[in-house]
Amino acid sequence: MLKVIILPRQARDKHRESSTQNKSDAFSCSLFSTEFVTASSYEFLVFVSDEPGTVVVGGAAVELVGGQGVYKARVGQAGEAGVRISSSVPVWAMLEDAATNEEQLLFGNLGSDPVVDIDRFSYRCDETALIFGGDAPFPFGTRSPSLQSAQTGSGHTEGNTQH
Amino acid sequence: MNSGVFCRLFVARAATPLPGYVASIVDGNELSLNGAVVATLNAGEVWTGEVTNGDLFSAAGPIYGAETSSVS
Repeated sequence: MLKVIILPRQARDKHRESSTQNKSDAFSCSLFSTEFVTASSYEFLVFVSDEPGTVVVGGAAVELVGGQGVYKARVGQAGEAGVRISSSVPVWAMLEDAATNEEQLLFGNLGSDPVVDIDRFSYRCDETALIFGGDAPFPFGTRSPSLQSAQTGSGHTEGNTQH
Repeated sequence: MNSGVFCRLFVARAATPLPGYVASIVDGNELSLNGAVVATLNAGEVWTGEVTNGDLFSAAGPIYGAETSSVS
C-alpha cells in the first residue's frame, strides 16, 4: 500500500523560522531512508516516520515520539556538512540550511536496508534520476536529461567520516 | 555485487552556475559529473562545486545532493 506522509501543520508552524516561505514536501513512505549525510551546514533537522524509533545524528541519539502513525524528532543543534545520520526505522527528513534559512528535503539510501546491500539498492535506484534544485518538484521517475556543457575542475571534497 | 551506475542526480534548474553539494552515504563511492570522475567519496564526505542546468551526477552507491539558489 502506498502511503504518503506529510508533516503536520502544527509541526510546520513549530519549525517556522526567518525565511519568507516555508515548505514541507510530501514523500512516499516507501522512499523513506535509514541512512543520510548532510551536504551543507544546517540550523536544525527534523525527522518523521510512521513508526517509533531512534535517530542517531553524529553519534547523538534522539527518539521519534508521537502516535497514530506519526512519530517526530527534532534536532535543534546546528551542524556542518558531512554529518552522518542513521535511523532504526525509515524516516522522512529535512534540514534547515544555515546559509539560506531554507528548508531542504533530505533523502538517503531510499529504503535500502541495510545500506551495504548493493544488489537491493540497485533494484530500487537503477534507471532512476533524482531531481533537485530550487523549488523544482521532486519526482522519482525515469528521465532522459539533455546534457549541457560539462563542468570540470571546479569541485572539491570535504566532510568527515565520524558517525 | 553489481558494478556500474546506480544513482543519478539531475540538476533541473540552475540557469546560472550555483553552488552545489553532493554527499556520499557509503564508502568508496566514485562520483562522476557529466561522465567525468570528479571524486571518490567515503561516507560523510561532500563534493562541492558549481552546478548548472542539465548537469548529471552519477555514482555506484547512494548519494545526496542539493544546490543553493538564494541567501537570505
